[in-house]
This record gives sequence, structure tokens and C-alpha cells, in this order.
Amino acid sequence: MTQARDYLVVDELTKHFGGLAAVEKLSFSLDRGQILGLIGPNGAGKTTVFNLITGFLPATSGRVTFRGESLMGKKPHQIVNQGLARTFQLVKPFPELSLSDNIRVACYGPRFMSQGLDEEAARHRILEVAEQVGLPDDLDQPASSLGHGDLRLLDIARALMVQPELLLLDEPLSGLSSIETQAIVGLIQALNQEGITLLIIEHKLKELMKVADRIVAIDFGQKLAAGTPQEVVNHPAVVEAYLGTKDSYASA
Amino acid sequence: MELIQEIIIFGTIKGCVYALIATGFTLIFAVAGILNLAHGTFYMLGAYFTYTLFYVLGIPLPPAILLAAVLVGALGMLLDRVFLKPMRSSHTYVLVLTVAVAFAAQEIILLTYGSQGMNIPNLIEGSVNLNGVVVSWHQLLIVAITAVVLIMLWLVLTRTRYGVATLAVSMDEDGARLVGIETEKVFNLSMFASAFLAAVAGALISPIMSMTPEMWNMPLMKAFVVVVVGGIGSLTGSIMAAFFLGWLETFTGFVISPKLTEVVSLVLLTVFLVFRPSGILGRRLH
Amino acid sequence: MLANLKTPAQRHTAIFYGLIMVGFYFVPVFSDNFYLLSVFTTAYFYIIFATSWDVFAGYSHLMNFGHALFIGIAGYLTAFVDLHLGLPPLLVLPMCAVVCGLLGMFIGYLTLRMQGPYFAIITMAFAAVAYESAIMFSEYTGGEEGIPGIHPLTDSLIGDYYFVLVVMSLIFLFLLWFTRGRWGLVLKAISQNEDAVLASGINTAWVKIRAYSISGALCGIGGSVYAYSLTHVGPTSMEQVLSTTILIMAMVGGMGTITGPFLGALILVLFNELSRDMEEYRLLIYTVMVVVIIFFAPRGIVSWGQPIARAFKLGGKRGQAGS
Ligand SMILES: Nc1ncnc2c1ncn2[C@@H]1O[C@H](COP(=O)(O)OP(=O)(O)OP(=O)(O)O)[C@@H](O)[C@H]1O
Ligand SMILES: [Mg+2]
Repeated sequence: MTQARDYLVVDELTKHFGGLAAVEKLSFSLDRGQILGLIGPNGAGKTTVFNLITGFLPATSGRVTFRGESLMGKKPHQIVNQGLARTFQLVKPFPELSLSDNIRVACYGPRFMSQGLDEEAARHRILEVAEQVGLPDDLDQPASSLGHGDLRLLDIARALMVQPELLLLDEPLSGLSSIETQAIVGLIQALNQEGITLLIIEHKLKELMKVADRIVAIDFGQKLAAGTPQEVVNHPAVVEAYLGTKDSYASA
Repeated sequence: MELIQEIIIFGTIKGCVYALIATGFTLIFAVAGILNLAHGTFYMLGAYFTYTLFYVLGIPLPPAILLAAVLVGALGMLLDRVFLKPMRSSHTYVLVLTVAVAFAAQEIILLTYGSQGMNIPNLIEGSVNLNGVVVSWHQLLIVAITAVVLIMLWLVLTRTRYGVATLAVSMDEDGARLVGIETEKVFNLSMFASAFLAAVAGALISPIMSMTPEMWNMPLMKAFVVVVVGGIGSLTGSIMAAFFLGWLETFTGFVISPKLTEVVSLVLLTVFLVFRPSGILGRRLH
Repeated sequence: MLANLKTPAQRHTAIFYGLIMVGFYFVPVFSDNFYLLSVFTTAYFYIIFATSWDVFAGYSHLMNFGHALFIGIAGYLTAFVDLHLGLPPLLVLPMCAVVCGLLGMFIGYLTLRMQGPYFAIITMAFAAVAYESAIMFSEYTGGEEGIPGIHPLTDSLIGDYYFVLVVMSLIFLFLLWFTRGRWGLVLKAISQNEDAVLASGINTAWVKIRAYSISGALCGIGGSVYAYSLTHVGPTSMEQVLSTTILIMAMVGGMGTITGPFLGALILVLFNELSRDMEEYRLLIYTVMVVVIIFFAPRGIVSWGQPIARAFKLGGKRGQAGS
């Protein structure tokens, strides 16, 4: 059994793009079973943090550990196979593949294959995941025929297919209608109930505050505040950086 | 001593031709992301059009070259408008289509002119003795024309509206579109310039090297080398690399063995692609 | 495999290609015309080259402009082993497969980071280096002339015909099996969005290297049989024109489908041969036709399969011909 505290630890993480410090000495940690929100204005470095944690970008310095094991220097697919999956801010489906094939791709990684599951089991699991996230019934249609909201669901379904313990969602609610938003908020809660730990980047603070146990706010790659949703959203530095005004989202 | 002079002089002449070929190739790659495998075809057409205008229509050589280059430039725009525009974002399509066009053009030239080598006369006859090295006036003229053409290109790119727009598109296409630059027009004009430059090179070389329907292969290969060595998308890098290649080839031919001249490009190409894919000046690739 | 043919469209596709294949086996029954058989044999070679090209390049959209490298390497290897060691073809073929497979793996490794155009240039360069080397090291390779006198595969034309046909059939079936399963899906996914495949826990680099290696190995087998069949190998076996022809055939047929390059190679070789009496216009028509097909059907001839099937009220709704 792995420890519940300090499940994922980000320690002095730094990323420079040439002269630009996208992430600067950022530290935070996440306990097992928690939902942590990561917020910050546009260009604050949130997606870069995800890319660093998941191995899509090499860090300039600093460390990330997951269940006590360092993730530094690991390739994205290796990190996924440790149980850490992600979605993308710009949804990245396989447009010409059918919905079920989009999800099926994730069956062919070692994490799924090593369980000795056959095609039948894969098909079963695909249907299960598709239903869980609420994809349309016709799984034979190509992904290119989906609308934006369904593409987000598809991306989440693909990530769920690797049976993650920790799921990183990059703006899962952006561009969604209010019905779709409610559906995904419900999904996030359900996943957390199942025992999945989540790290969520989101601009829609109202919804994020409903689900998050804790929130970390960053700007210019540096931490502004961390704590309970209420604490963070009312933190003066956050209010100023995030809103530029004194209106608080918490009261919105 | 004389050997060094010879290498510098003849290498420079070669470098000029390579620079004319490669700047256009780089330009359209940097601007539109098109790796144009029909680039050598423009060079070939430049030579054959000049030949026709001069011998068949009796137009004097200098205007014939200019007219040929303009015609080839227009063909370049046509290629871009008709064939490439619909699927410019697909590298696969662009590569295969342009190579197919190159082969089709080769067949058309073969049917029209036959396979025997042909030449056009020098722009100026005669030669000079430069410190013991005999150079033809035509070769010196190639250097002068290249200098003029490249300076003009530089002026156009830095001093005119379309030039600045072109540079902007080559740096950031979406950004350029956002600030209201008509990228379509930029692509088209770049294609014109690219084809024009290649055609000038083809016309200038054909008094020295015979034109054949297969002549498009050589410049294409050189363009690859120059572009890769110079750093993809860097015009300055391309020009530097063109002269570097010219000198290195001439050195190899004079000092080691003429048989190895053609291998030089290949070795450079492979070494750079494997060990330094960003070229001398290029940005690092991901 | 038949269990996978769920939709009527897939069954019709299978029947279509099955009939063509069976037809090939009966050609010698109807005619032992030397010319006809050698035309078909040529087509089988190009089918091997184009379909083996497709399993990597067609699926990954990394344009391999130097596929003939494998043909040449396998050809020279065959010549050396046959003339100096006297090994039988059934040993030489696997050997060529292994050597070309490893070569593919090596090149795949070197070129891993490269994308689109860069990949095209470097594959072209590797083949050109091999071509120039074959001419330069003439003591071993016979220079421009190449190496003659390779022992023939069998002692009859019909024997050779069937040998090539069997090799081609096996390669074609293997490729269909390979690409219709998980690897085909993963390769297609990589070509559409590599990041999402990585995020699904799949080592995309390794998948691509493996596909390139298979592509090389199968082409190596083809190249070896090609050298045996011509009883000769020379630098032309890795010429740029050959590489380009292979890629054009695959594109005309339809990349990333295996059946597309099969059709593309078959149709273009047959057209090229049957149009011989058009004399000098032949190549012009050929090249212009290629440009026109690529322009109007960038997804290749196989993309016409569905509309045609529908016109004859054959097919089901979705699913491409070839899938
Ligand atoms: N690959 C890259 N190369 C160079 N700069 C980058 C790269 N990725 C991100 N950046 C820069 O790093 C900064 C942080 O970007 P990031 O995408 O992490 O922001 P973000 O917080 O996710 O913003 P948003 O809310 O708009 O998604 C930005 O200034 C961005 O331009
Ligand atoms: Mg972001």
C-alpha cells in the first residue's frame, strides 16, 4: 500500500523557455484520494506544469515524485504506465478513427496488455468507459463527427482506459455548455469516489470549488497561494492576479 | 598558391549558382512549409525557356533570360494555386505531388526537345586572366548577377510591405494572419520569387553545363544540402551554406579526386541530418 | 481473420482481393506467353515493394523516399552469398530479411526525432549514399555494371513465376494481418496524433522503429527475390527513381491501407506495360495520369471502392474499401 500523504510531490519545479521562466521553483503536493485544483491566469504556466509532470517536457530543474518514486527523466509512456494519465487542453483525438478505436488505442499499452486481457475484455471495457463518461451510443462514428463537448469526453475516456490512479485534467470544462459542464462535474466526483486522485486545471472557479479539496494558484510560474478553495480564492494576491479587480469569484 | 586561388574563384562561382537555387527553396519552405520537390524543375524550365526565347523567337539573351524567369515564376504561382493550395498542410501530399509534377515535366521536356544536351551561348564571350587563373567573363557575370539578385531579394524582404509580411509569415503564420496579413498572397509571391530565382540559375548555368531533361535532379539535391546545412528556414544560413558547399566541392575536386565531388553533398547532408539537424544557424528542432 | 470481417463491405473487399489473388495463380494455366508472365512477375515485385513501404510510411505518414535502399542492400547481399558461399535461396531470403530488418531498425532509430520533410530528405540521402557507394567500391560491387551471374531461383519461367507469386502472397497476407490488428491501429493513431498515443502509455518510438524494421525486412525479401529473378544486381536497384516510383504507386493506390498500394502497384505496372505501343507518349501519359490521380484522389484509388460498391448496391454504409 502506498502512503496517503504526499502521493504526488512537486518540488522546486522550474522550466525555462529560452529567457522565459514558464515555471519557477514551484512546489506543492497532493494526497491520495484528493482533488487538487490548479488555477492561474492565462499563460501562468499551468499546462507547462502538466507537461513537466507527465514527461512531455524536460524540466530545467526541480523534482516530481509520484508514490515516492521520482518521475524525472522518464518518458511520457513510462509515466502513464505508473498509473498517471492526463488529458489535453487542446483536445487531441484521432479524427479519422472511430470512437471505439480512439479509446481502444489505450488498450495496447503495457498497463492493459500485461493483465492478459483479450480483445473481448477490451471491448467490454471500452463500452463500460464510454458509458461511464457518457459518450454517444454510436461508437462506430469517426471522432471528427463529434462536437467539442463530446471530444472532451472522448479524451477523458481514452485517459480512463489506462486505469489511472492519478488523473490530470487540463481545463476539462472549457468551451462546454452548462449541461455538459454539469455532466463532467458529476463524472469527476464519481471518479474520485472510485478512488482516483485528480489534479485539475480549470478556469471555471465556481465549478472547481465544488469538487476540489484544495487549490493551488500560480502566476508567472510561481505559487501565489495554496489552501482550501475558499482561502485561495479570497487570497488578496490571487484576487489581484487572477481577476485584476476586487470582485471575488467566490461570491459570484 | 594558384590552387588556392582557383578553389576560391571556382568555388565562389559554384556557390553563387547554389545560392540562387537554394534561397528560393528555403524561402518557400520557411514561408509555407512546402518542401518543393519540383524546385529543380523551375531551374530546368528556366534554361529551356531561355533557349526557346533566344533561338526560336530570336529575343536577345538578357531579356530572354528575364522573360523566361518571369514565365517560370508565373508557373510556380500556378503550381501553388492549383495543385498545392487545396492541401498545403499535408506534407505527404505536397511531397508526392511535387515529385510527380517533376517527373511529368521531365517527360514533357523530353518529348519537346529530345534527350540530347543543348546549350545557350555565354552572355559575354571571352575570358580574363585573374592573377594566373583563367575565368570566362560569363562566369564572372554569374557572380555579379547573383550579387545583384540576392541584394534585391534582401531589399524586397526588408523594405517592402510584402517582404515584411513574408518574414512575418515565416516566423509565425497564425500570428501574421491575426494581424491581418493575407497569407495566401504571401505564399503566392514567395512561390513566384522562388521559381524566378531557380530559373535564373538554370539559365545562367546552361552555357557551361548542357541542359538535359534530367537536369532538375542536381539542383534539387544541392538545395537539400544547402537548406539542411544552413538551417531550415534561414536565408542567411542558406547563402552561407551555398558558398561553403561550392568551395568544399571545388576543393574536393581539385585536391582529392573529381570523382568524389558529388559525394561531398551526400556526406554533408547525412552528417548534418543525423548529428546537427538544426543546421549551422537554424533553430533547434523538436 | 475471417472472424474480423464484420460488415458486408469488409466481406466484399476480402472477396475482391481474394479473387484477384486466385486469378494470379491461374494466369499460367491460360497462357505461358513469356512476355505476359514477366509483366505479372514485375507487378508482383512492385506489390511487395509498395505494400512493404506502406506498413511504415503509409501508416505513419513519414514519407520514406529511399525504400529502394532495402532492395539494393538485399540484392547485393544475395549476390555475395549466392556467388561466394553458394547458399540456397531458402536460407538467403531470411538472411536478407534479418539484415534489412536490422538496417531499418538502425535508420529508424537515427531518424526518430525527424518529422515530415526532414524524414523525406534523410531517407533519400541514405539511399543515395548506398547508391554512390555501390558505384564507387567497384572492386566488390562491379560499379555501374553491377554483379551478374546470380543463380536463378528455379529452372523454368513458370517456376519463377510461382515462386515470386507465393512470396508476394505471403507478404501481402502477413501485412493484412499485421495492420488489421493492434499495430495498424496504433500506427494510424500515431500518424493522427502522436501525443495522445504517448499519453495512452504506448512507446511510440518503439512502435515506429518496429514498423520500419518490418517494412525493411519484407522489402529485403522482395529485393532478394528480385535479384535472383534478374540473376543480376546493380546500382539501379536502389536508384532514386525506383524509390519514388514505389511511393507514387502507394499513394496512387491509397496510403495506409496495404490494399491500396497493392492495387496501385498492379494497375501502374500493367498500365505501363500495356501502353507500350503508345511509344514515346507512354511515360508522359503515365506521369500526367499520376499527377491527376493524386490531385483528385489524394487518398488513392481505394477511396473509390465504396462509391463503386454502392453503385452496384454491394456494400454496407461506413468503413473504407480496404479496411
Ligand atoms: N513549448 C513552449 N515553448 C516556448 N514557450 C512556451 C512553450 N509552452 C508554453 N510556453 C510559454 O510558457 C508560458 C506558460 O504557458 P502555459 O501553456 O503553461 O500557460 P497556461 O497557464 O496553461 O495558460 P492557459 O490558461 O492559457 O492555458 C506562456 O508564456 C507560453 O507562451
Ligand atoms: Mg494551459
